[in-house]
Amino acid sequence: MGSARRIILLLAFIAGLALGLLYTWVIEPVELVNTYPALMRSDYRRDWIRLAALSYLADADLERARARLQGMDRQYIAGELDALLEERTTAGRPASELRRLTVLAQTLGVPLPARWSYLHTLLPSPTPMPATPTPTSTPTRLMTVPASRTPSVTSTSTPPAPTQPASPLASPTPVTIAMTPLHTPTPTPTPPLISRLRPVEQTLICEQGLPPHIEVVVQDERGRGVSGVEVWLLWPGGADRAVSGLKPWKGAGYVDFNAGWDVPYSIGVGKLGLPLVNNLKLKPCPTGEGQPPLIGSWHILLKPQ
Amino acid sequence: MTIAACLIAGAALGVAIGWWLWPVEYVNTTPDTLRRDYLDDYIVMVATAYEVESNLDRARERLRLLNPTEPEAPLAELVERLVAAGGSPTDIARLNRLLDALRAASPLPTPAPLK
Repeated sequence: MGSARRIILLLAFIAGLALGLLYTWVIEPVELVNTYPALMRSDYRRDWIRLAALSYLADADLERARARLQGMDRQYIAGELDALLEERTTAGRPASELRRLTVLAQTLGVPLPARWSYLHTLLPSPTPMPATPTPTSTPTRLMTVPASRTPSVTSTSTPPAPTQPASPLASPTPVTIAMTPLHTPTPTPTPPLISRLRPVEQTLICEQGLPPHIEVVVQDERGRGVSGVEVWLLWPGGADRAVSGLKPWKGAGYVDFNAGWDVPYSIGVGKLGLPLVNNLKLKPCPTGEGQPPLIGSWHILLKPQ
Repeated sequence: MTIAACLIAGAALGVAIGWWLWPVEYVNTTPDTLRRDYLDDYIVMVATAYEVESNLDRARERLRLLNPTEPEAPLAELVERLVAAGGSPTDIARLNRLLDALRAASPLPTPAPLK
């Protein structure tokens, strides 16, 4: 084979490669559907965080806020919450509102600048303090204790002992300590929970007018829905990702996916999409004589074991 | 014949690279490409944030990302779907309030003069 012919073949190969890339990158690129907030442009991501925080101010739904901010970069969350705190402070918003934002930050494990830490301290009340201390149910705060006492971290769920001073601000030289770890009244979708999740129930849903779908409910040991859990629907050549809790009217742990006929699906959870259910296919529902065929949907319940 | 084979082999490799090995990476997406549940939640959050911020222009700008010509359209469509699906009454009420505010603020079309 002459060198000229080799060059021609190489050029043909390169031309084919260029055509292939042109087709797949420009003419018919991978279709963009079903993205999620963490993929958005940074300004939209920031606005998403801002919207989630403002919504939390309006409805105080911590689980929903957690689901909305799931997968978002902590630095972004910290930056946006800081900016929002600054803005709301400048606007003269009440301390309770600002405090709520810091509670959101702490629940998400997002560090805020130290200048906001004062929001956790108990503010002196203009009304007389009660003679006996009232146990507070505030999940996170800083407690001011007399300097002479040995600081000790205790759970906020434990009411103060009767021997505690009546007013936490009574000491002239107070020391402020952080009450950590954070306790929230609702379960946290932590990796241990995700690693313990197993399918405990698989039900065929037969309802006319309902598009074929696969719905997954994530619950904790007590049967309460858990929001903010990444759930993956995987099939040959594709995947879809959703986070539980975005449809709160269907329950905190609810998530659903559109599904197609005769496709073998797997269901996974967590960042790695660890498969818990495999080879799940839609099934026809039993119908009576003369009734149109009906494709059933699946309801999968995941609980820790 | 050999040239055609080389051309096809190159094209096949190009397709493999372009679709599987090294596909177009989508980052910096916009809200309108979000998965349906995120998209719905985005609209609900816009309506909720409007209640907190009372900034109608900002709410409209956010909704324009979903429909530049008719920003109220996705809102109205979501209200219908949530009502049909038995969605949260609080969410539906918020969406309706924003929808009303947007419609009230929109300039009414000027009637054409009668001939």
